[in-house]
Amino acid sequence: MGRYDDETILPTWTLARGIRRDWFEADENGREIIQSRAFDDSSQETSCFILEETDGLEGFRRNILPILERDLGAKLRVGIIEVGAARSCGFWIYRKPKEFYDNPAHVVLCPPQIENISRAKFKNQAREIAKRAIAQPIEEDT
Amino acid sequence: MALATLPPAVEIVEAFKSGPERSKDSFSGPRHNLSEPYWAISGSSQQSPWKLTAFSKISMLRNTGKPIPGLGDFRISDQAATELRKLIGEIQIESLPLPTVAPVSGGAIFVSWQSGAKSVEATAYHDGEIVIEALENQRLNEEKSKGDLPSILWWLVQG
Repeated sequence: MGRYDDETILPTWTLARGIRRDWFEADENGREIIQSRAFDDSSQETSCFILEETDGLEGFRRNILPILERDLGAKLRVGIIEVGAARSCGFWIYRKPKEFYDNPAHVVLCPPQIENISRAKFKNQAREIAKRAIAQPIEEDT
Repeated sequence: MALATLPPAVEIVEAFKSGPERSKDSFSGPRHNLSEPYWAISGSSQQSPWKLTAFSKISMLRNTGKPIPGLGDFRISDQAATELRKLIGEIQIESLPLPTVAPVSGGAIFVSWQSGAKSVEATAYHDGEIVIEALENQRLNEEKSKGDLPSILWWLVQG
């Protein structure tokens, strides 16, 4: 099946994305800002997770983030955004469980067409969603 | 070989360590080829700390990138690395801010220069396509072509 917008993913739900340290930059006041590259992707499919299906942010931190960090070999921050806000930035959202250990909470953001849109346009959409995503505080190791 | 065409030391070390290019589907280690064209255009980087930084970071990211399920594929493609090295090698401006170099999911790589509220970004995608953008206060100012890069870098450094 090709790309589509899965309407069973409700607009009030929340998506989480692991954010690499080199996907942040500090503004003139030293505030860390998520950059467009955090949501950009050459193949125009950006991985996220539905928090409502991962036992919330805490469940995501407990069960999924450690797998991402283990595979990457580095700590990650977490960026969250409402599904409705992601759609208003021009993305479709659908499930791709096979791309993360058959986990149905794994979804991808993609452009709202079967054919790819231009890279520049996708990057602009990534910039919009990055502005609206909220970086979660770093959880201290215990 | 004339001295001006020698690659920077970091490139020599990387090339001798990695050996012959591997098949496209084999990502188990570094993937470089001594015949890659970026060597010939990187000569002036010996005088440009920002170029050394950029080339070194590209090499490091290429050597360490791997696919991460649920996050992205960070194996930087040959085309993306080559096109970005060419682009950087062709820049004639010796004094620029040290760039940020980061991977982008799907085999792409990104470089940006920041000066105050202004920034210039170039993303080389897995098939070698490059997108160049000028930003001010994190907002897109203009999308540019590769040929415009020198002029927008002057815009960046002229305050």
